[in-house]
Amino acid sequence: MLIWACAYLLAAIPALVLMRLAHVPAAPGGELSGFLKDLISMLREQYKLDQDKRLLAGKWAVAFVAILVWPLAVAFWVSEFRPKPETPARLPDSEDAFEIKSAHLLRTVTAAEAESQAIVFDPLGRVSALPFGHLNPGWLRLLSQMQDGDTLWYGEVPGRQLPFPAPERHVQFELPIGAKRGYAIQRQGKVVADFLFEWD
Amino acid sequence: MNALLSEHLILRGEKMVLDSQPLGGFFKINGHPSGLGGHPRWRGYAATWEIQDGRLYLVAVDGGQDVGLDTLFPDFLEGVFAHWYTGELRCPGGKRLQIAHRLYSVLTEFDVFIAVKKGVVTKERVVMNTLTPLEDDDPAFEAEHQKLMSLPRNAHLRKKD
Repeated sequence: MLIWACAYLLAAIPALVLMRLAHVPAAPGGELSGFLKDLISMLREQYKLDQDKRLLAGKWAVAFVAILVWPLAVAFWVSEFRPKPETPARLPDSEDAFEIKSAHLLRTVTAAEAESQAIVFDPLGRVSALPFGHLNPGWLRLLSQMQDGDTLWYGEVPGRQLPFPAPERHVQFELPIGAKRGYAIQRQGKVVADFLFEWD
Repeated sequence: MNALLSEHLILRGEKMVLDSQPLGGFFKINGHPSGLGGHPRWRGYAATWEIQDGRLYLVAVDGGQDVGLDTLFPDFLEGVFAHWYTGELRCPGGKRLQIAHRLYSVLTEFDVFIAVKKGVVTKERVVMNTLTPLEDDDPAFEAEHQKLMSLPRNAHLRKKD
């Protein structure tokens, strides 16, 4: 027990010495022995040297990073002023000119089959008796473009589905908008002409 | 919506504004007639349609001096059966909803929707338009809003078989 008490008291001695060393230089009129003055002076000098080293190391680190980064910065700056080649988002497709595209084709038909299903009747007689009624000129125009080896297809284009974006979203349509049905001529795997007989 | 730009639909004898352009599809299929370019209306024409016995007919076209029903369909001066049209016609009706007018241009008290398949009417319905809560504290807007909110929503008139 006595040993532990002595150890406890002895441990306080270094703490008291350190407190004294820290307090006395700030206290006006404090006096220290020559040894302690030299010790404090040495510690202060050492601290100042360490601080200078840290500052110097920081400056060197910044300089090193700057040396590494500046070529990248210059390259970025140059690239901003260099004219950029305009690359289209998608290559133009010859089918862009038509409403019905290859993806919309459903089945092949003959002209006779298409005409047999295209007789329009109106009880008031307000439609032509020709195939596809009032649209007969467009149908004849399509047939005039047929060449040997071409294929006549029936196709459907799906419409826009609800909900619409603003400003149409308040309108409560039930049916899709923009749905289309018609025929198309396909040549060497590409649609080269189309004819729509239903279109809103 | 500017009435000058509007198409019209005669439904049970009543002429309504039509917010659809069935003739636009026809022109795209058969080609635009020459002579429409000089008309002051932006698309060059204003058509009048009529529902007769459950069918959609084009009964008049005002396309300026050079384009009319007589030039487009010289053999069908009494009307043209619009068999090419499949879709949903919309006729906005009633008073314009003022608060909606700030956001949209065409929202009115109700819409008449007429579903058409190859020129034949398949369904007709009326939708009462309601307003979202107003931020405007104008008492006139508030009164109109309360009146419209009290109306039934999506009131279906009838369905044709």
